[in-house]
Amino acid sequence: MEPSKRQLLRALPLLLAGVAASALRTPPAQAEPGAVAEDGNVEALRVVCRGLVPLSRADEAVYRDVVAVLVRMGSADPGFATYLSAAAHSLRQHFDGRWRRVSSRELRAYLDSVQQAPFFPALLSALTPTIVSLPAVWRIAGYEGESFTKGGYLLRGFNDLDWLPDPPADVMGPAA
Amino acid sequence: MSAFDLDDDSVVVIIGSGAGGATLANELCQQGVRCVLLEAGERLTLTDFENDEFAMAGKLAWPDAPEVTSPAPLDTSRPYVCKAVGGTTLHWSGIALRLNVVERRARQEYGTLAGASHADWPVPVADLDAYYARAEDKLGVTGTHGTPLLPGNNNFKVLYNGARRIGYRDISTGTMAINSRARDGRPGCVQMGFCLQGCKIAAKWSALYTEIPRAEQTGRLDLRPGCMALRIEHDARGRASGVVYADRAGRQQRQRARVVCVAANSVQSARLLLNSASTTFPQGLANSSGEVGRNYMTHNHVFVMARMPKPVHAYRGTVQAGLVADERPHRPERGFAGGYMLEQIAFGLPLATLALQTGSWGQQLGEFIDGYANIAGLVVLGEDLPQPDNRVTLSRSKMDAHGLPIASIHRVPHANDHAMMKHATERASALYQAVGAERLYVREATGTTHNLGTNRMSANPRDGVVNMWGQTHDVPNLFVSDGSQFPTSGAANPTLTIVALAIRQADYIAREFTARSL
Repeated sequence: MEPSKRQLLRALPLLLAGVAASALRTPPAQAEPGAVAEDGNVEALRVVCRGLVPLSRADEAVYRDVVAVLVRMGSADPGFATYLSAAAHSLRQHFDGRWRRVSSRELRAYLDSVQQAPFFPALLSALTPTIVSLPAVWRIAGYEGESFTKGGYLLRGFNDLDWLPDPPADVMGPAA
Repeated sequence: MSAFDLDDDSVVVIIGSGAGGATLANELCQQGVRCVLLEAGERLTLTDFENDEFAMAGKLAWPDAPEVTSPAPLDTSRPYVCKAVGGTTLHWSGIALRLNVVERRARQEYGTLAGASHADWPVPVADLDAYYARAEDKLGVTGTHGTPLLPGNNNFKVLYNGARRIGYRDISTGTMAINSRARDGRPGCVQMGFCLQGCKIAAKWSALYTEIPRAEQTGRLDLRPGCMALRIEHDARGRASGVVYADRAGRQQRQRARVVCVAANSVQSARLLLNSASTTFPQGLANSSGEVGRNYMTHNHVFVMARMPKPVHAYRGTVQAGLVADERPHRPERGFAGGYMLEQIAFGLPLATLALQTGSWGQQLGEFIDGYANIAGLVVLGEDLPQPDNRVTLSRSKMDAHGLPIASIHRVPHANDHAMMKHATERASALYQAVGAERLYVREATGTTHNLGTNRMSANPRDGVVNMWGQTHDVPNLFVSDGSQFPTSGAANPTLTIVALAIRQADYIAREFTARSL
């Protein structure tokens, strides 16, 4: 479930496009060093991640899981770890002692103000594919994923949409 | 499985095992011609296929990106091809459209357009039509030869109703090379989704499990996976004499040949000819016209997706079985030449998010994911006008692992492309708004799997690289067998045409062998 950056870069042209290549290109590591595991940093990253991807039906466990994945990525990639530390430090510095209690509006305004910081695109480009690969987020979004082991969607709702009229038989074949 | 000697100069050497190369190989083998098929990638089986977009990208995608010199915002453009036995037939969605007659006579029909180099196809209309019919039969295309259409999925229901409400009439689940019922030893579609990741039940036609094994059964095919062609050599008379390739271990080998056929997809096919320059052919092989690499086309692609008021679950079922053809005819009063198709498409949550939301964050991204189940979608597929300077050249600075220059791609859309995409985006948006879309997601794609042109057909040797048989004008026993032959892109996904041309080329080569004129 943890796509490597290399896998993702190779995945992109599969979009028929390559629309996302530039956004996934992580800038060179320049952020100040610091241990991700420092007390409070992991919690601060959860706050930042919720601000970056606010899902209305996600509980805290989703952000705990996604940050855990990011921290693991950081332990395999010291450059990325410095971005994670920088993101956590930045939040904590900005809100001083009350960073655990910021409102969503304050968080949005803060994130707006740090978009140019090197950690921002690095974190976002890792966070986005990671969070949409979590099974819990699939459930929230209504995505069911692989279907081979379940015999496809033929008998599991591929044409169950009932809020529009069915197309006539001459523009499509029967559902065998 | 046969193995022919490297010094056997009676074989046809085909470079690339995709829609063009594999079809050509099988058709030649069936007619008694022995073939060596070089494929840079490995041979996967259905067991290797996964219902996982990221994992399959890692298994299928050609990993060495070409250099792109197009101006921003096209600098993210990454032509995509598969590096595997069967080539891009593993990834294609199965849409099997003929180029229509107007698109094959683009120069006559559209007239002169400043900066564009569109040309008429030298293949007679009835001739190609007959081969289209054979290709449709081979691929089991729905809606042809009595094969039933596929059923419509939820994404199709939205597409159909929206299209009808804005007055469109030419709407169906389309001519698809996906079995609507068991056929040809392969099962019917079970609406699995993941058509683009390799069809794990082989309901979608792919050369991997049709052309390749059938050719092997003849005892006349020597398939060599993991073998990357480096250059084509010629003899003192200027005839192709063999192909130098790197085998799986990286060792260089030289396979001698009676005929060489290049089917490595437009970017690599042009690169190979350019990398085969010699003192006799200093501009590259088959390039006395200077046309090798030029007229590079893709298709004009725009994703138009819409969040609907109620659930769609568009990812369930056949990914692209839903086509609207009303805007395909050439109607210059719209402000552009050529036309476009509207083709339904859906991605899983991970790929949909990357395709449509890269760079976005906050409420916009959160709402996209929250509303994913309600999203319906299509991709515009429009004719891309060729231009001489949209081209593949050799990089001046970057080499591959074998020390050869990598391909460099330059493509700038024509004003016609911009006008068409604007029109298409408006119409596709109206389509979804007519059925209550709450929010639209529009992203212009800057690259595609549809790499075309670069070795185009021409009646006059000055104007192109190959003749109406795909035979190069300069080197009589050197052929081009992929989409790089196309003089125009049409508004049609290219695979069916590549297959039709490959069957036709095989008939020609076999006839010439019998007549001893090749």
